Amino acid sequence: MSEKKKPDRLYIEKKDREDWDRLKDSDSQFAGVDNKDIFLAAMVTGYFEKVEFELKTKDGYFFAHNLKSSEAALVKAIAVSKTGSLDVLLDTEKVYEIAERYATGGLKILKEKIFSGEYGSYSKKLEAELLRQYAKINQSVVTLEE
Amino acid sequence: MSSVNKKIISQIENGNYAPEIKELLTDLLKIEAKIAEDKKPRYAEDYDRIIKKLAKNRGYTEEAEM
Amino acid sequence: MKFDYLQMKNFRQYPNAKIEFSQSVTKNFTVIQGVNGAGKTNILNAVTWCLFGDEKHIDKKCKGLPIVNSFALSKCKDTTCEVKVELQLIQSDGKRIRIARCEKWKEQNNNLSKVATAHDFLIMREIERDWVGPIYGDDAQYIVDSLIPPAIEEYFFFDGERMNDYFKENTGKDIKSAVFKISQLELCNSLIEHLSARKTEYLRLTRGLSPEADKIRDLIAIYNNSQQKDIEQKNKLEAEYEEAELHEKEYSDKLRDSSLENIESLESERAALVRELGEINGDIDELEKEKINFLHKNMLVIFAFDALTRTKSLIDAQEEAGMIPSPVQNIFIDGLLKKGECICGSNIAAKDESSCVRRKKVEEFLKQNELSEMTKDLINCNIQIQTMIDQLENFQANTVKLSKKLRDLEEKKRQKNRRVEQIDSEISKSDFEEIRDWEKKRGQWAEEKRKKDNEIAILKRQIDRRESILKANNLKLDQELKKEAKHNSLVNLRRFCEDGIRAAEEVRDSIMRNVKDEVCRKTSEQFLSLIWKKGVYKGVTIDDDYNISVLHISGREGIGSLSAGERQVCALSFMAALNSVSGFDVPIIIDTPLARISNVPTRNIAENLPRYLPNKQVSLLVTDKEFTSEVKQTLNNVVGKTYLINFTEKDYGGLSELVLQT
Repeated sequence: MSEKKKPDRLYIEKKDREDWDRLKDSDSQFAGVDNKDIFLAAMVTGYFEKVEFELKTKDGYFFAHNLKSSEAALVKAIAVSKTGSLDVLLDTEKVYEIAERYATGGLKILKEKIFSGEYGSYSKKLEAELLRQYAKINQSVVTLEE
Repeated sequence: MSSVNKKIISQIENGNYAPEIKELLTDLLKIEAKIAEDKKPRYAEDYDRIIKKLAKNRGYTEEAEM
Repeated sequence: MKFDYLQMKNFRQYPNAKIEFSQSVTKNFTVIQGVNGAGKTNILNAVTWCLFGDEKHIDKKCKGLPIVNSFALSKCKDTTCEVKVELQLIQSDGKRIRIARCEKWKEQNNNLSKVATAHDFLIMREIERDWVGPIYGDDAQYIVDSLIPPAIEEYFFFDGERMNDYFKENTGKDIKSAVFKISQLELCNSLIEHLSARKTEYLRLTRGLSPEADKIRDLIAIYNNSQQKDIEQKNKLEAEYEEAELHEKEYSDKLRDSSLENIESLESERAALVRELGEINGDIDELEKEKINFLHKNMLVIFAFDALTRTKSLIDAQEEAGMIPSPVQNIFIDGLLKKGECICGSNIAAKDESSCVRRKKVEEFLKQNELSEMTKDLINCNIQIQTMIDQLENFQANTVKLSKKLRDLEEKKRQKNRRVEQIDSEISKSDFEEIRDWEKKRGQWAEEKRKKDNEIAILKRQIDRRESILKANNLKLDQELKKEAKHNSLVNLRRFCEDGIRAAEEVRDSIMRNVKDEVCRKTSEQFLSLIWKKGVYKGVTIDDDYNISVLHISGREGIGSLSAGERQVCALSFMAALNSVSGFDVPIIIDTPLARISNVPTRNIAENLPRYLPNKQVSLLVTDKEFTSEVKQTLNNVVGKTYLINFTEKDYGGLSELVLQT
């Protein structure tokens, strides 16, 4: 059972449950993937595209203890980036809330990307986008070093 | 032959199922074997008796994913 | 279960004969020897006639003849003559069952006719020490059918001479259904069906108590209906696909077996290319999955890169400002305590006072510098972020590598497809009309197969999608019903049934898979040990549809090229394997097991047969040519009883009697 101060699970918007399930269907690029991993993918997508939505009715999606150390660090980093301060890490509920908002925003984007185009186009577009971003990252690292 | 093939019983016993489910399947299979032997068409009574007894004892466990 | 005895009265050439089968555990074989035409097969027929009312192994020459013994009939002028066969079984619990079937015949004015008889089939059962019954007609037949299902009797009572036709006549589906029956898996299906019915009933009982729940229930019913239709359609398409595949193979085989060398080699090449293309497609699917998993893994870091770097900067700043101590010093001090030696070299582990004082000081220092949970969390977070950033280093190189691998596979696929098209074209331009015709038909069936495959794939996706929707709606229904406390128990019962159904389906599918794999393994093992041409065959495989293939050492399908004797051995191996894994306890009768097999291999089979049918009561109906002194010698340790059929020719047919050999 969850305590008020330290939540033990992360939530999704209840009315979006069908959309989350849709992402796990056999014709999706996330087929066979567990809830946690889909959530994280949606979360970073929402963060990247700067789309977030508040949850109106919560529905439990996965237990927090299932997050690996690196994944927990990722969730915290998103919250820190959003608030601009490390202090947010003192409030786990707030950290998860931020993650949940971005995940809710990212869900719709992911669904659109996976199911709208022809089969196989999501993978190609994702690859192109990631390589583009990776190049930008490398460029900014070089600039910093200079 | 009202006995159930040993392979089926063994598969149930060694399977990763809750104890109530194992007991449910084993008991119901015995009814099926008996029906097959005695040509007894009415199974509902026996089925209900076993289902209700075991469902009563059954507790719910939270799943890791919801 | 074992046979106790078989008694025949006026049955075919047996006016009065009795076989008492060997009951010994070690000497579990009973041999009944007779020349051709003496009546061996009619012993098998007596068994099936008694059990099922049908002489399932009737010889062509006997078919037209009446079942009643001619000699007995000749003595029954103007009166009825009774044919009777009685078979007594001993069940595994020691209780006996006596099964008897009779017919009455009458000859009048040279017309032979059967006389209607009440109670021409009955069973008696031993319960405790009493005999109960008789049970007549359909009720008796039902009991017998549950002991030895007629659909699978041929796997326990088999005719050696018909063995070589087995693989010509039986399709994989017949075998699959036999395995299903022989493993009693129909009980599982029945359980699933009945449990589903109870589940539906519990659901029905909730009707009317919640309008919202009723709406969802109606929606589920509509989806279930559509799902059922789609599943039926998919099954139909799969059957059509199989048929198309069979036809395609038929013409492929014709082309490969044609006497024209170039056609034969082109067809072989094409078959090999199709196999390779199948493998390449599998490799492409796997690589695509690997690539998407790789992209998704790196997407987390790339899309959140600025969040990761920003967080790292903040933590680094705190570290630089001294607000986050380095964890190194605490690890170091802890290490000193464990070692028992201070940094200055003095002992802090000994029990004397000064060592204890020194140790206490070190421990206090450690305690004062203990990190808070928050600090530990920040340090750990920083380490994790750095690791994630470092792992990104080879992202581009690895992506390019994966993409190249995929492109190479696609190119390989393109080349092979091109070659297949070339071969299609070459064969279809053959100078021989027959070849062109076969190629055209093969191509049409291949195209038909592709169409069905596409339609099946679309339906499968639809079915999967609808399954998710049904699952979601069922969950909604439960939640709706749970709002009313009184529904809870019904919801719980329904869920319990669902869990039971899922488990039963898993059990059934798992057993089916295991039985198939075990049958395949044992058939292959037995075939290779029984077959006399060592080193020619690789083994036997059975696919999911129970189509049996014998693999030649070259890798090619060899079942078509087996000799009659080799086919007999293959079928015998399969029967023995099926028997040994079935879990069904029915005695075995084999009629002329060594008919088509020459001397040298028969010894091999005689040596191995008891090994492959352990703990089973086995009866062999053999000719003198089969039961040579060598075979007799080999089976000596396992034969408990031997009978000889003495056959005497008479004007009105023949008479046989069974004589027990000492």
